[in-house]
Amino acid sequence: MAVIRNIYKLIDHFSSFTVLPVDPDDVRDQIISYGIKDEIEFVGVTLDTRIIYGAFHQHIRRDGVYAEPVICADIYYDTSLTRDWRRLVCCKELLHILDHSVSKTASKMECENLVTHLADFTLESPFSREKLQAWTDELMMFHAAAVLFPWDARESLYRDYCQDNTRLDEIIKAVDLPESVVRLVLSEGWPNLYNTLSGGK
Amino acid sequence: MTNTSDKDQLMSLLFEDGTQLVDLKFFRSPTPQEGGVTADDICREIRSAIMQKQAGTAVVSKNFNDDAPKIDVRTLFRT
Repeated sequence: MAVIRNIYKLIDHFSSFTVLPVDPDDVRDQIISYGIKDEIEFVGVTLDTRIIYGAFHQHIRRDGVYAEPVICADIYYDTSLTRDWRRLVCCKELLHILDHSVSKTASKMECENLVTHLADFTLESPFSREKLQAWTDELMMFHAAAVLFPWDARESLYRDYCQDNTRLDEIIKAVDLPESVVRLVLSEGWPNLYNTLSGGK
Repeated sequence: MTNTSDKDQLMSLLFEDGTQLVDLKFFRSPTPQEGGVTADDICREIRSAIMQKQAGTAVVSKNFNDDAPKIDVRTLFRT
């Protein structure tokens, strides 16, 4: 699937970054370099953060009868989010722009089904297309973590963290990501997860 | 307003102009409201977000505008 190949490429591109935090604008620019022509906008709004932190809405805009259709990718985030969460939310939603296959929805009914399945990830629906779409969406958060906390940066910090994990706060500040994400990336099991997320790079 | 109407209203908003392509995703709250979150709750929030953009009350930018200070983490514990 092209989307997976592009995500592997994206994770590989950022893997050598040690100057952090990773700028979501750099992630966007790299995505555009893969031939994506979407008009991308970051949209700060007021949301109920007990429900969602952000959203991704991709749609077609027509500026005139004979005008070329423009694919718009709106990345919504709640303006009250701290910068670390905003970084994670926006990056995860940016990755969806690469998605040209399995989780693309088209019709009203498909869209309605997708939202229902995304909302209730545990819904009993084995082997359904929507189940796979929902699973892909959940996985995208981990791909975003792999992009925003690059491999070389993790390798540089891991030994010091193991020797003195009181330094976690300094690491969190440097990578500017939520603590739960930083703890995951610095966990012993991350290399195996990263291997899967990056296609074995 | 019934729960069903939240989802219906979002779908009407998304497809009202004959749009043929819509992709929709969201980032669920890591600290969900008591009692859980339903698809209708999510639809209501997404619809609200889209309407805020349409109404011009959203902060819209082509850039993330990251203002975080940068550091080479290889030097973080070496100074």
